[in-house]
Amino acid sequence: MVGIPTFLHVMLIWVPAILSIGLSFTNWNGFKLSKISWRGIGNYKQIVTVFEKDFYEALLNNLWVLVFLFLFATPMGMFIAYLLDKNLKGTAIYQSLLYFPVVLSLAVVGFIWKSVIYSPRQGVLNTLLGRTDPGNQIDWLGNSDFVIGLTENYGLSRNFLALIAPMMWQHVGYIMVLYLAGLKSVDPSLREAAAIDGAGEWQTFRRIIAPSLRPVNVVIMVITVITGLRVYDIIDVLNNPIGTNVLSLLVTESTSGESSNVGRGSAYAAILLALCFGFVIWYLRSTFKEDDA
Amino acid sequence: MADVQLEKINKIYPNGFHAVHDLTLDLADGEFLVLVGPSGCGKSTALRMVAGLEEISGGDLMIGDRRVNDVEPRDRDIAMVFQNYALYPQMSVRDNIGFPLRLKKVEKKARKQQENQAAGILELMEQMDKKPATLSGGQRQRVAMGRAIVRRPSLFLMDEPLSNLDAKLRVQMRAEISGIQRDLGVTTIYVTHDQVEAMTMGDRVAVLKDGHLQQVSDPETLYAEPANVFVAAFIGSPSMNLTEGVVSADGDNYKVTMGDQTVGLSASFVESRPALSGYLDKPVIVGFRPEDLEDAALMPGHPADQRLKATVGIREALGAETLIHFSINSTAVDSGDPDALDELGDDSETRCTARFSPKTKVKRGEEIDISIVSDAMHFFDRQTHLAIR
Repeated sequence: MVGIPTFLHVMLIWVPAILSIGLSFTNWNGFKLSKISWRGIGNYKQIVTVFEKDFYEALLNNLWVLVFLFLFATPMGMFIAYLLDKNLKGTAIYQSLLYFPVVLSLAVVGFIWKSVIYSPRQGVLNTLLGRTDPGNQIDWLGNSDFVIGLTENYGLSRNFLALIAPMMWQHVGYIMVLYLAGLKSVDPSLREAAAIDGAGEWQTFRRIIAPSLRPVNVVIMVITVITGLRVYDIIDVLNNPIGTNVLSLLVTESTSGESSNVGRGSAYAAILLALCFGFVIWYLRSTFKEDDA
Repeated sequence: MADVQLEKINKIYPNGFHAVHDLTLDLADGEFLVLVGPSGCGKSTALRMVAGLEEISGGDLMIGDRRVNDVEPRDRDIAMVFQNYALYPQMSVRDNIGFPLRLKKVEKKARKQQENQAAGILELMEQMDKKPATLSGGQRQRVAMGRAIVRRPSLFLMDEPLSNLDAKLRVQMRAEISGIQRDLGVTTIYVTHDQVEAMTMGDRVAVLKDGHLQQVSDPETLYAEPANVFVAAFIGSPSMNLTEGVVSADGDNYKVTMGDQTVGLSASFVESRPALSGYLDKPVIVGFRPEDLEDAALMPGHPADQRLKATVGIREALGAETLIHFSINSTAVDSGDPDALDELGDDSETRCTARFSPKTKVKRGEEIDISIVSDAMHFFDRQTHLAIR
């Protein structure tokens, strides 16, 4: 019974993935198979030389997303889940409201933020700040100056930070639901035992609840990393303003359009794959090693 | 150590369900009190209110001379053993036992000493570095006990701590828990649905049904003088046979008639129950325990008028005793125990159990005489179900 799904999975996911790793060592415009030619690691070389600026900017932006999700969105989602687990009045309403962004596609989320929040003329932010006049408008998505500059060429641009906000908004809801499910699975008598043993709320969470949620924590870490690395739609939908490149966009940019270069696109994709895989394998290994100890 | 008082404790849930009604109990310092009753009788709720895990809807709870209704569980100076043990899965046995001490910020050296002492009492020294998941049920139970005794509380609360163990281990742990409790002298409230546990462990036993206290007394009194039909049926295994009957007098000769069976009662017995004279010739509930019945063939000297005639139904040879099932043709009585199996067949027959000596030779289907110790019979009011004494 597992055979058919496995076969489909291998054919539709693994075979194309391995083929595109193969393609990353070739030169091909994506149309005629006869025009394929072997290029060795030429594509990769090109990425770190000719396309150096694009590549490092995109890589750095992916890292920024990761940093912000890890530092803010994920802890926030966990914290909200913890609060909702206390069976507050109206828990269902809060849950629905907070989970709502997850139901929306990131493309829709992008539109909502672009037109409702960030629009220079009618957006919520500028209206609240009183900056809707053409003279003093803040262009949230157009300003690519660095908020945090690392070097002259690299840093966190203002508009990319503005894009990270909706990503976090959505991520909080996702993490909340995952963590809430985990919290609900904790044996309630553990909390009661801890309360009688003399543990306060924070001690109960830190010493009893959090350690017993380790499987959920693994899932949350992996999901956060994958979310951070594969951000795509929200930026694409906002027409990829200057300073907001990410790796997945480089993939599509290189493989589509007139100057399409499937070889280089595949090389970007292979790098992305390696990053995702590398992290997930490293993380799972270190977690399970601890388990054995 | 402390004495504990429950003064008209009530529990009413927000949905209006009244789980515990005016529960009043006094525990002397060092006493082992068992709360027993069928499932849903409110015994666990009562215990959880004492622990502070459930809010008390009404009444006063005193531990020592402190009213603790609104005191946090951790400040009540109690320890609790849960039915599923509630061991912290990621901690070693040592850390589980030492957790309350760690929270009290007991210094490391003293903590280790107290952990070892508790582990020594419970024979857990070899398991100290293991995780709970690798332990057997009995060992987990011990760890839970260890966590409770390590902090020397003034009150132990135990919520069906043995119900997850197999029968043999349960008997062993029963004795161990009693022994430890006696050695430490800590006042204990112990909840169980198992009347054997209640009878063997408790200094006193409180029987609960539907949130109402039925009777509280020492096990012997509970067995010998049940206050009502429910207690009579609940305490004792196999349970007391209960059927409808009529007591009548012919001069000084008293007898009780149950269907077509008639059993003589001694005048001294009737005199010892003065209230019974008010029930003459009226239907009452009659109770007699299986152990007060015996194969008449083995009791040649037994008075001839203290006999039942019966056909042997199922026969269960248990080794030390033989249980005989038979029916008498008088109306059956519902004791009100929701856990008891509904008697099959119609109400005009009462299924009875007798506990015979294993020497009995009776066979299934055989017509036999059963001698009955009529001085050990119980009588209850048909309406109120209260004992007639």
